[in-house]
Amino acid sequence: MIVHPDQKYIDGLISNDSALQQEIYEKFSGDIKWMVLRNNGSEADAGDLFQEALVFIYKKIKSNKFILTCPFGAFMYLVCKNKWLNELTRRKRAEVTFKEIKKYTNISEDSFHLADEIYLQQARIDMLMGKLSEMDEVCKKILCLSWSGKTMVQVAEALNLSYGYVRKKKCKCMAELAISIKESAEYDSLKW
Amino acid sequence: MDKAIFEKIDEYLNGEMSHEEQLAFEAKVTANKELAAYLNIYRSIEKEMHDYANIDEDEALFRNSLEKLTPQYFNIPEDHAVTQTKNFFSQYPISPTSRGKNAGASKKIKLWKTLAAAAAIIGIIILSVFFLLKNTNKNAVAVNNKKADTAKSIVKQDTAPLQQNIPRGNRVEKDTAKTKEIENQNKLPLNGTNPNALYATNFKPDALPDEIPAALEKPLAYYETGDYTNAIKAFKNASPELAIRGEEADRKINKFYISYYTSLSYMANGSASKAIPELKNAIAGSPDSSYYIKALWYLSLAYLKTDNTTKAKELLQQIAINKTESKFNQMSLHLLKELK
Repeated sequence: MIVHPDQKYIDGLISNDSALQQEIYEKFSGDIKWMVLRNNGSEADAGDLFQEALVFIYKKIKSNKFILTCPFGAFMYLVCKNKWLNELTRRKRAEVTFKEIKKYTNISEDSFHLADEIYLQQARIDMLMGKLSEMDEVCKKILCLSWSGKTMVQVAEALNLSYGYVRKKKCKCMAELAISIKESAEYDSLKW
Repeated sequence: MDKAIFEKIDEYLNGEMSHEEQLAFEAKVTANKELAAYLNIYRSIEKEMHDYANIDEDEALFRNSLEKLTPQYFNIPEDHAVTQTKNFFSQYPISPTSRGKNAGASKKIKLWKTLAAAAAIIGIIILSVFFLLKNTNKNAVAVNNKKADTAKSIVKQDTAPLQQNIPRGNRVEKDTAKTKEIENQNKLPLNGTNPNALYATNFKPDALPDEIPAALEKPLAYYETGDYTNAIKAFKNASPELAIRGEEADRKINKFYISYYTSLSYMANGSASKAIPELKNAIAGSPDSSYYIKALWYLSLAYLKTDNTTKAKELLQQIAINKTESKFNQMSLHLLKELK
C-alpha cells in the first residue's frame, strides 16, 4: 500500500493543525461549493456539507488507522458527493441528473473504496438521526444521554425517573429503532 | 419479532448474563437468523451513535476550528439553520459532574444549597449597602451587586500560591496588573463603549453545577456566598487531594471546576488578570462544549477587563460563530456590536 503525499491533510485533521486545516479549506472548498451550487444547493448547504464531511473523516481516522492512498481532493469530493446525493434524496430532489465536476470524472478505485467507508457510516448516522427525530421525547432523551457516555443509573438520575423504567424504556426505544431500520429499504445497501 | 427479546439483547451486550444464560442466548442467535440480524443492528446502533455523540476535548477544539473556518470560505447567512446532525445532541445537554462512572462521588446537597442561597442573599444585601456607601463617583457603574469588584477584597487577597502551577509566561506579577486594572477602571469615562463598563455590564459569575462534587463542597459554598477570597484559598487546598482521589473521570471534572470557579472568583474579586491563566486551563480541560463556550466567554471578558480588546474580540467572534450555544452566541454578537 502506497501512502499518498496528501496523507498530510489526514494527519493535519487529527493533530488539529490549523495551517493544514486552512489549506484544506483553501484548496478544496471551492470544488465542493461548485458541486453543490450546480446541483440544487446553496453556498450555505455547501459550507455545512464540507464541515460535516470533515467531522466524519475526523471521527473515522480517530477511531481507526487511516491511510490515504489517493488524492485528498478526490476523496473529499466523493465523501461530499455521496452525502449531498443523500441530502437531495431527503429533499426529494434527487431525480435530476447529478452534474459532476470534470476534474473528478476519472477517480481511482482507491478513492471510491475509502470514500465508501466514510459514506456508509455517515449514511447510517443520518438514517438514525432521522428516525430518532421521529421518536417520542423520552426516547430521544434516554438514548441521547446513554450514547453520550452516561450509565443508565446516571440517565435515570438526570431525567428524574426510576432506573427500572429507564432500562425498560431504553430497550423499547432501541427495539423501535432496530425494527424500523430492518424494515427500511436501505437496510441492505447501508450494510447494517 | 417479540420486543421482549431486545431486553435480552441489551443484557447480552452489557455482559449482564450469567455464563449459562450467555451460552443459551448465543445458541438462539445461531439458530435464528432474524435474531442475529437484530443483535447486529442493536450493536451497530450503540457503537455508531456512541462514537458520534461522544465529543472529547480534542474534537471540541477541532469542531471549533471548523466553525471558524467555514464562514471564511462559504457565504453563510446569519439566519441559516443549523443542520440536523449538528444540533441534535445539543438539545440534551449533559451535566459534566455526572459523566464520571462513580456517581456516588457527587452527592446532591439540596439543604446545603438552600442555606447557601440564603447566605448569598445576605451577602448581596451587605455588598449592596457597602457599594452605596463606598461609591461616591456618580459615573460609576455598579453592575453585579452580588459579586461586584471591590478594591478592599483585592488588596487583602493573597493568591500568589495559586499561580505556582501556571506556566511562567502566564503568571501575573503580584498585584501590579491588579492595581492597573483598578486604576483603569477609575480613570475611564463610563459610557457604553468603554471596555470596563462593558465588562461590568456583562460579567456575572456563573451558577453552581447541578450536582456538587463532595470534594468541592467547601470552596463552592464560599463561592456561592460571595466570599471569593476564601473560595480561592479553598479551591487551592482542594487541588492536591483531588489529583490522587477518585476515578479518572471524576478527577478530570473536579480539576475543571477548580480552574473554572477559581477564575470566576478572581474576576468577581476584581483580579481579571489572574483569572486568565485559570480560564485557559479550564478551556483545555472543559468536559463538554457548553462549559467550553462558557469558559471562552469569561476569558473574553477577562481580556476586556485587562484592556486587551483585540484578544477579547477574537474570542467573542469564536463564540459568535458557534450556533449550538445560542445564549452565548447572542451575548457575544451583542458585545461585539458594542465594541465596534
